[in-house]
Amino acid sequence: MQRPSLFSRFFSEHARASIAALGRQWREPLSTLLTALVIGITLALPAGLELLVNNLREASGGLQQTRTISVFLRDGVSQQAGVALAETIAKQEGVAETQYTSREEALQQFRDRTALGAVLDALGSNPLPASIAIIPQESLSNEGHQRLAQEMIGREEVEQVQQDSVWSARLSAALAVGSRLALVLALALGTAAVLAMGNTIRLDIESRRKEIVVMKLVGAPPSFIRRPFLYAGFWYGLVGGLVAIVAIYLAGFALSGPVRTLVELYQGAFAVRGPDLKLLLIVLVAGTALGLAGAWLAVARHMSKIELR
Amino acid sequence: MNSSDPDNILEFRDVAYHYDGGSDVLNGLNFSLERGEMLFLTGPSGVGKSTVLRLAAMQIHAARGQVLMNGKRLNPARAGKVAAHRRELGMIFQDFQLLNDRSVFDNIALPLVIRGLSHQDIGRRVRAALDAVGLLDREHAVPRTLSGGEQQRIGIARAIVARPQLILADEPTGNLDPRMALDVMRLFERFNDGGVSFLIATHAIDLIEHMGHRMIHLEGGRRSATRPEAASRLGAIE
Repeated sequence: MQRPSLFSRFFSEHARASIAALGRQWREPLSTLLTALVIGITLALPAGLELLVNNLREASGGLQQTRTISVFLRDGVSQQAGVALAETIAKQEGVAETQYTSREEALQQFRDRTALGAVLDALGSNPLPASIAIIPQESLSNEGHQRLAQEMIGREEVEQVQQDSVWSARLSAALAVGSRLALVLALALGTAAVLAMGNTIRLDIESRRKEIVVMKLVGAPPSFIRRPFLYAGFWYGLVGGLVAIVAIYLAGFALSGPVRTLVELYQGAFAVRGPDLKLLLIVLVAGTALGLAGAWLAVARHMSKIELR
Repeated sequence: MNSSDPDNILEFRDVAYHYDGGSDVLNGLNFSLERGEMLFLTGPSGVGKSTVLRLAAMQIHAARGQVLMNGKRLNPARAGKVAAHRRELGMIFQDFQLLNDRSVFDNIALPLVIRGLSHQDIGRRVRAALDAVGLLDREHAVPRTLSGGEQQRIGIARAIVARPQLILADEPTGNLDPRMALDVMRLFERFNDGGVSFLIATHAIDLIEHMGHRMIHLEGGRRSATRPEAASRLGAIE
């Protein structure tokens, strides 16, 4: 009796089981599609939410200017000293750039942007202070931002410091909640998908009861009997992952038009970004893992009970 | 009594078995099957003939006593060890236990596929087995399209294709007419002449009593009689 090498036997047995499982699913396209849809939707929901969060994070990145620290200088600080101070601050760690605005420029900007110029004229003198706008680097953390503001308050030339970062911090926190929600959703739906897949494979096992009985009678090892069902789970999961990817792209396509309109209304330049390669790979791997886990659950639970009565 | 006779391929020593909630099916059964022997188990329905075969195939395990194959006790074991034990056997059933979603060739090839043989070896040995049972021209057929006798011969081909030491047959002629039953018994004798041991549970006393093989009659869960005296082989009763 000639036996192929262990590697060639391993490879050929797996190839045979894998192709047979795929062929079986191919012959029942509706049932396969429905099962794949369960996994696809399970993956598409959390992955879509994660993608939404990433897009919001991207969009909020364009609003970094709202992290600007406005430093109002005392009346006695000359323009030359103000400009020098702005240059000094610009060289500090965590600062992207600074913009000095003299009292006269502030007054002019106020006149240009409001209809309250006559009120200022009635005051007789310019009440607006000179100021330095500090634009932090994007990488500067909230803590670093706070430290920078505190440092400005301590300077003798400075009358008052105003931070606009509070809402930005709130947005970051909301995005973190969204990201965590996607994870929780993935775990909850993933568990449901594993159970649904387990049930599908259980039905598959029941429908092939006689085949399993005969295999056991002729001495098939448990791994040999398990293999086609595990590959069925693998293929269901992989196709489910592909369904999820298609669903994510379709959702992105459906949303991109309305989002573009919304962004244009706010004169923004943001465009919806699709899933990156990393997310696509995660979806495929997660789909396959869910399929395999469900199949393993069913096989471990039901296979050993099947014997010739 | 722990030592085992190396001439024996199968031994039952004081074996008892009862199904859940039922009375004893076997109660102190003793017998042995010699290498190369063909042994018949007879007796009325429910006397435990099939139970003996199921014990030998490790489908169930003795409540008391010992079942030994090649001197090794068949204890409850993991599924992997049970499978390895069954690969030493060939099994034949009254209802054939063939798979109707695949061809005759694939049914017979199953024990070889499990053993990981190459495609060439599988093809060669399946066709040799088909030739041995006289169904070489039926390799592409689906079992359910064949007669009962042909289906049983496919079952026999599947049982012998991996060249097992021992074949267990449970009422192999139970669904066959007398002519087909005779054909099947002749096949068994041919393989037995080639050295394969047989343990066969059957009701067909008329058919086997002229074959010249040992018969064990079971009654009340134990052996009631052994008949070694039959003289002729099947060829003589045609």
